[in-house]
Amino acid sequence: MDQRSFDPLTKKFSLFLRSPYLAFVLRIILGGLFVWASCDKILYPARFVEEVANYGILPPGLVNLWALTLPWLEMIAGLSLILGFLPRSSALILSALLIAFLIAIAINLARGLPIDCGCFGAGEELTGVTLLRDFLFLAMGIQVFWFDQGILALEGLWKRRKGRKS
Amino acid sequence: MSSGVNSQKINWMEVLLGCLLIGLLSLSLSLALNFFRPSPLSLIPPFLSEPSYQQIDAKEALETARREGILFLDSRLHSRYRRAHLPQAMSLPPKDFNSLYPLLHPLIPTGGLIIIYGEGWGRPTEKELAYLFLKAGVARERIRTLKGGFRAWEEGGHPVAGSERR
Repeated sequence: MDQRSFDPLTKKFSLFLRSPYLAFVLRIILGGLFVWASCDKILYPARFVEEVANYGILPPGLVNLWALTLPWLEMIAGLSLILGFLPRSSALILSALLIAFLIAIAINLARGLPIDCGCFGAGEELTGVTLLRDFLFLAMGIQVFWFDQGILALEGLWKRRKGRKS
Repeated sequence: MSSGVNSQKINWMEVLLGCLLIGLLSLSLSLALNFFRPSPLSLIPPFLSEPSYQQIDAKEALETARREGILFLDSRLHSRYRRAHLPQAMSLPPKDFNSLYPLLHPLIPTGGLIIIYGEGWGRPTEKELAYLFLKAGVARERIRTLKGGFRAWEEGGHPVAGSERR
């Protein structure tokens, strides 16, 4: 392979992956996905408790607390990501959640349990595609965490105003 | 490198404090809103506060099955039941108790034993179902759970019915 013709392409791709504009787009997409995912869980908590319990991973005493808190964590972190308020913290929380989901999904795929994913509402069975999809979301979260520079972010506006005052 | 897309220096303390803020906000919102729901979810599932039920092992269960007046109940997911279950068992996951109990009630032998089993790992559905029977007025003395659940039964080489029966 011609090294000189390959290098600029790799460099361009690498620049694209590290672009703050890509981070901005991913911030909106990832934030929106989590806000959307949280709505159904907040509206139907009893069903979500059932879905969390079916994973059979958390101790039974923690299932209800997790099922009540997780949707709000998704909602608040998702909204913060979209608005650009504490975007790094939100991206870190969502990435950590995605790692937890990936582990839970992998364990249940290995067990062969035909359970509902509980990701975006009822009726979605857990498959290998769910695992791949969450890997993609995790990659989005990591990109936002490292390369977001606060384009159209509340935090940036607030910091700039604070800087002007001082 | 002068690419202009380098990530900014990360202030880890700020990021972690942000995570704590989002976490605490989510926890307080979820608990407060659950409290004001018409039928709030209990934080600790009530079946956990019940003392454990009398257990029966596979050998005893086989001997008991020969007698009349015994009801075997499979508390796992319907799909798991369809694949393989104890030959005499009927499927009754805890989430379907309210809708199926009126149909099942005439089949429950008066004064006879109810033997309930779950997977033997993960979610303790047998305890959840046993608790629902207690709440419905069935005496604790009549309820038994199968030691080791379906896993122990299968591993013991005992007879199995269903689409995957040996």
